[in-house]
Amino acid sequence: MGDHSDRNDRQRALADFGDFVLDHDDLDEILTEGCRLVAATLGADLAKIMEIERGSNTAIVRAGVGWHDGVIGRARVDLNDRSSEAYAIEEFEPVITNDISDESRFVFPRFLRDHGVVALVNVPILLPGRKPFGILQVDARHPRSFDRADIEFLKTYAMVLGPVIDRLKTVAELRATDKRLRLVVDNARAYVLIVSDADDKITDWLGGSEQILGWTAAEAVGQGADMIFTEDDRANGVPERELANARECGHSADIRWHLRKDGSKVFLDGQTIALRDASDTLKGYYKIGQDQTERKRNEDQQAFLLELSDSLRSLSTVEEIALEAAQRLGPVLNVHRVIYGAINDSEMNVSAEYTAGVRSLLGRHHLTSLGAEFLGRYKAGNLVTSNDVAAEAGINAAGKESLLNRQVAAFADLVIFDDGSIVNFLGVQSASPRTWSSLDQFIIREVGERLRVAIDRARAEGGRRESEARLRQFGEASSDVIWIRDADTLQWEYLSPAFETVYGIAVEKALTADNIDTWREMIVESDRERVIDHLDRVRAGDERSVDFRIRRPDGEIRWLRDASFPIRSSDGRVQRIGGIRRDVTQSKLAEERLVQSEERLSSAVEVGKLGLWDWDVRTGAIHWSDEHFRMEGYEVGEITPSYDAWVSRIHPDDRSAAEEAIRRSMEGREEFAHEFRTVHPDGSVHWLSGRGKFFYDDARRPLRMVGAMVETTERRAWEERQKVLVAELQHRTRNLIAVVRSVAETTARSSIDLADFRVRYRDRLDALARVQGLLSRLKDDVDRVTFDDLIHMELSAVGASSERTTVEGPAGVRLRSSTVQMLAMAIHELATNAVKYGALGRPSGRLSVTWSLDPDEDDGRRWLHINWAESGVDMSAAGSVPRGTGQGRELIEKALPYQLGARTAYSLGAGGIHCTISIPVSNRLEDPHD
Amino acid sequence: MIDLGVPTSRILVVEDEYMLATEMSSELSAAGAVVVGPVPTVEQATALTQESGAIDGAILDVNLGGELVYPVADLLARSGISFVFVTGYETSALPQEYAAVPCIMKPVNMAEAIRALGRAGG
Repeated sequence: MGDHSDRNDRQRALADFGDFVLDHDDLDEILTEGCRLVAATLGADLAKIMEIERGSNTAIVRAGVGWHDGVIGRARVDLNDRSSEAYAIEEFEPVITNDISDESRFVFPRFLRDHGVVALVNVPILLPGRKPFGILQVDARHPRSFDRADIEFLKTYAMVLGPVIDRLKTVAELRATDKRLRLVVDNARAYVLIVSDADDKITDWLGGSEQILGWTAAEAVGQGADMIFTEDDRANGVPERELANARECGHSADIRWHLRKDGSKVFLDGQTIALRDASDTLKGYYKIGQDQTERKRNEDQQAFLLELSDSLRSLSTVEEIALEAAQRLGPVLNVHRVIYGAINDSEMNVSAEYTAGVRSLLGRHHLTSLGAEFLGRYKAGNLVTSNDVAAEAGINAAGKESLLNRQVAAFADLVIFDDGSIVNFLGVQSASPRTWSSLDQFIIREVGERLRVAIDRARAEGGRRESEARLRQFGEASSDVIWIRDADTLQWEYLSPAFETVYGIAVEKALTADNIDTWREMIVESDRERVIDHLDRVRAGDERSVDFRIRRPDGEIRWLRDASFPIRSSDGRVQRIGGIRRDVTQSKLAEERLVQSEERLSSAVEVGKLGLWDWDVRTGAIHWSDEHFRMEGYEVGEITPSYDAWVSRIHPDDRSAAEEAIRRSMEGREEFAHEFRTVHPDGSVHWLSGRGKFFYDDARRPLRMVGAMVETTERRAWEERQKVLVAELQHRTRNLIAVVRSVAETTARSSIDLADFRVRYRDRLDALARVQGLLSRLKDDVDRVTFDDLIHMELSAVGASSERTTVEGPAGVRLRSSTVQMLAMAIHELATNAVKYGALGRPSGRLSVTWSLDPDEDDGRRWLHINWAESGVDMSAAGSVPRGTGQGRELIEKALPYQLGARTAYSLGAGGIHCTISIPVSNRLEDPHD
Repeated sequence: MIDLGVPTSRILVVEDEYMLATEMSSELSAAGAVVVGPVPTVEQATALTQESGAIDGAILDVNLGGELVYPVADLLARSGISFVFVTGYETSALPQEYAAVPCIMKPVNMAEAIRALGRAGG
């Protein structure tokens, strides 16, 4: 490279650049061309222009040549201390690096090295006023020493670049503004654009001002810009405030309703900007605003509906709700009247209304004039409208008249409820014809919907409140615990007051959090699982009962019976569970006692061979023990035990008494104790003695009877026998006494004196006693005194010695008891006489007593023949005077025949008395009274 | 004096015990009555009743050696002849139909028996 040629090249480069700049406006184009020229002139591989971005303290590659894609417009260089660019800018001097690898002053960005840059020169570009713009950089891939000429060239180039860039930036900015302005103007249809002077008189009426606000430019120019504000705003000094604000801050927000030429409103969202010149003098105002009427309307609507919903929610009666809705809707729609009414047949009842300047329509009205066809339109969901009643085709003349009389010239009625007979509707009415816009109708429907929801809720809540009140009343009155739990958490939601009585814990305390665990603890441990399982099943949808015990805080154990059921929400899910819980401790104890009694009874059956019965009074079923069957004369299990089965076996004579005894026991709550006869199929009669007891339920109704019977037939028979024996004994005793008295009489009659009487009476009494002795020694009914017993007893009683006495005859001849006494008396007389006067009183006397038992020819009865023969007695000496009193003779000759049917003979023989006695004796064993 | 409404009373005595029979008879005689019998059995009593002349009254021992005297009582009752019972048993042991008949317990107080007989006859 020669100096000259170089210099020429460089000069040409500058000249070329100048031409290029004059012909081109685009800054980037120019900068790029600049880079190209520089790089070419210096024979460098790469060149670039970087622009400083103060905000990020970086310089961005604005234009360049030789760089890879993505560098221009993107790559940045950090302008920190260590960058050569920063250095150059700060020093206002070029910075040269002939070899990066040798350069220790600076750190170079990576993308430089990526491009293989080894040597470079950074030259600052300064705008007029020595404002740094950026850097012009030339790079080489080989180490290169940039000489003075190179540097000078670059400096010159940079100096030219400065102003060029400056001018072009200004133009670009102006163009950008132009563009923006053009954009604004192009889209001005949506914008109000007003320019006013310093007095705020309209000078320019641009953009969509006419379209949005209505006035033409001709009409607007010269008017005060405050004419577009609403009367209220003007009255409140809003325009002035905005202007003042704009003057102070430069601009002021203008977001409000404005006025149209036709008096209607438009919502503008925009700004008022104060326009000042270079010397900061106020030139005027620039107002720009976007028509946001639709959006504003929507927002207002939403707000209105939300407020309506909120206010309705807080009301609880249908009347309040309807009134609130009417009162709110009326002003919003700007109507004369809003009513809430009910149509039944062709009668209307208005229960709530809003009025503005018209009569009230509260109360009843007849709608017959409107006709069935018209009224037929009032169905669920319908919005029945008329923009002009007078011109309405679907209403007849009479109807029109009645409507107009009510100051209804236009109406929009929305049916809220239709149950088939009554139609509830929200009626929006205007006293003058009015076209119901789609927005109006939209609002009416929206309000109607909220009204319907609110009324539904109020009715449901009213119903719910009523049922809650009823539940509470019921709960308070009932002595049972009524409870409701949440099905998921099992926490108690409701407990009736009876809870306190049963559980011994205050209701409030029980309703506090986590009550499921505390309650679980109260259940007696062995019952816990059963109860939890029960609850789970109820939650699953079952209705069931459970019995369980709780331990109250005071230690008492109580039995509770719980009847639980699921409570479903409207979607069928079990949301809650509820139940009625009753203290059944008394019943349970009674049941337990009963069970224990039963057990005791069962063991008694084992022990006692008792005839048991267990009668379930309610069902009539009876259980009999095996013995009971037998006692009734049945085979065990032969029949099904029943009250009638028992009665039917009772002896007819005893039946009514037995049944009466049962009744008395049941009603009088006394023990049953009764003896009665049963007759068995074989005819045998059995005496049964039964004892029993009734058990009763809490309402004192008989539940059960339990009893036992024993058979007393034998005992009774024995008692009978006893009775007979006692009677017999009495009889004998009385008879004996009568005989004793009689003997005393007769003895006395034949006694010389008392001494004589005493001896003889004593003697006879002793004989009687002996006989009694014999009789009392009888072992049983069939035992009898035998004749040999008798004769031996008597003879030994008188001391008859065996040498002089002969006693012969068959042993074991049974004597009837009624004959023993008399025969003994007779024999006693014979023996006594024999001792006193006869054979037993003399040494030479001999006595022979013989007897034999023969059947009589006549009647088949057996006869005992007794032969008493005395000998060795000298009868001649005494003469024929009868010795003794003759009582013995009387006994033998009169008494024995009379009483015993005996045949007797008594005679005085040569050697002494000779006596024969023949008495009938019975062989029969069956007669116990013989 | 036995007052049976007739000048001389003829009293039937039915008693199986000889001693008592003789005692009752002697006391009745002493009281002025004519004793019909005494007899110890129903058979003899029945025969006497039917054969003898009018009987004005009777004293009947209930238990005649095992045999009960009621057939005689019935016969006398049918004939309208009044009578009294004497017995060693409890008087309550008598059957219902004889509840109205005076019943004297042994040992018999004859005076009482006679009085009772008089009442029964009157």
